[in-house]
Amino acid sequence: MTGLRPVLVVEDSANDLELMLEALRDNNLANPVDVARDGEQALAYLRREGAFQGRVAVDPVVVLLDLKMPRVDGLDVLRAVKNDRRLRAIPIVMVTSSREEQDLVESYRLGVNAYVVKPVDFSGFAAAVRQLGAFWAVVNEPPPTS
Amino acid sequence: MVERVPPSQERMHRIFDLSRDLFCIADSQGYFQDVNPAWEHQLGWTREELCARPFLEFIHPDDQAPTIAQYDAQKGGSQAIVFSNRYRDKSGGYRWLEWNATPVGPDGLIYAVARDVTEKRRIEAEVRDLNSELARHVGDLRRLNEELEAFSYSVSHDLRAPLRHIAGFADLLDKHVGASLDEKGRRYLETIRGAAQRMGKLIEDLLAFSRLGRAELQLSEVRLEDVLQRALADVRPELEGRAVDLAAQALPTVRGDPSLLHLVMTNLLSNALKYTRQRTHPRIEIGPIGGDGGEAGFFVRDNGVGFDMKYVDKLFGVFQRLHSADEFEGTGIGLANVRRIVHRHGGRAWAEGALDAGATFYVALPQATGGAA
Repeated sequence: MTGLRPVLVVEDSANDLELMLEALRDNNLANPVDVARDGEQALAYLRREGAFQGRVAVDPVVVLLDLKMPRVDGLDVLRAVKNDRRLRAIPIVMVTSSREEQDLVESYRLGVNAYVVKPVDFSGFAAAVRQLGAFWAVVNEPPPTS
Repeated sequence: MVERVPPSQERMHRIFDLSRDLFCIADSQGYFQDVNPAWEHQLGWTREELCARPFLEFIHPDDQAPTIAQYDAQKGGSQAIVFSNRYRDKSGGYRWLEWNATPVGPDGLIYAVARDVTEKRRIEAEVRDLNSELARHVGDLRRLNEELEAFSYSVSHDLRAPLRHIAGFADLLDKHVGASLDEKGRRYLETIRGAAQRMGKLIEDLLAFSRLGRAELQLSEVRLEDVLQRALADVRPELEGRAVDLAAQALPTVRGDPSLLHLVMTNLLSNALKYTRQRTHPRIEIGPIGGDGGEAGFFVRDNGVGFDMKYVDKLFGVFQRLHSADEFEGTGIGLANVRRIVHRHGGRAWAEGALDAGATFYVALPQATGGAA
């Protein structure tokens, strides 16, 4: 571990995941990218439980969290993280298809750190991911791992 | 003076005879001893007919047992009571009577007064029915609204995702093999991308349209003059490099939602600018309407391409267009938004025009409080 902390991408759709990883690759982000394929995995990853028990003890610089996922969705993950004394400082960015007001309101109520609506076209999406990466992985100073 | 006042008993009799309420005196055998003329007036039975038979015979079969119970309680010296039962009238129908009775006195008689509440009960039942019908309708509407909400939520999430995949992977395909594609191949890719973009815009517009129908109106006094100035600032980019003759008259103040009225004005101005694009001397005129009939509003007139009045009904429909997207860009949601906003204000929006001779759009809002300046 060279000191660069990972970005955690939580995404259930294979297509969206591929686009996200492609966009991150495009932007030459130096941080490693870890992936959780649903909300349960994301929480296990963050808590270093189950399959993630042996994970290096560092928190991600940011969690890019899909909102709509089966079973444990993005809002559930957000709620669990922000209610967890050890995890609540980890920055969480909701990355979603929808700008539905109810999602926006609920996300901010639960303490989301940013809310990004994915543009339809890839170049717009890649540009958004570039800005996210630049800010959360480079500009922003993340909280120390607890 | 004193001599002219009738004796107390006679005075009581007069009141007994005059009352529209049904007075009666019943004995402990279950017969009326006396009834006042109101009985004949209301039920059709004469005094003699009523006193000749046990009064129970005049009572609706379903109400006999409760009436006996009340009667027995009265005989047992119970306090004044209020209850209701149905009495058969001479025509065979039943009238609801609401009773007020005293307990049996030393003379062994029950004194009672009844009021015919049939009509009151009928109206009450009608109100109850109407209320429950209203509650049912409100429930239906709420359910419908929830379904619409869920529908638009699902459109927002579930329809956008595959669209993003189409557009995203078309971009990636371009990056991957774009260089080796011939012109035809490139055009196909461009078409896929363009179509996905357009569908994205349509979904966006549709969702905005549906939100317009749900958002609560924030009503205040709105100076349409201000609305016009802000809308003009918004469409400034579209005015760029064009010599448009803009003529605005004084506009009234109306009661409405300022941000929604702003949307209406911007839409109409933007339309006028779009459809006068091919004119050498484009002219757009904005002026007041109403002032009487409790309405106030404005019109936006242009000398653009206009439209055939036989299609006027289609003008305000969702995604209805009278020109192809190649001639004039846009999804066809603008005027649907205009009409929806105006309808939500309880107002009217309509248009007049002729092919190649310009169009005029009217917006009239109700001014119930007479607040138009």
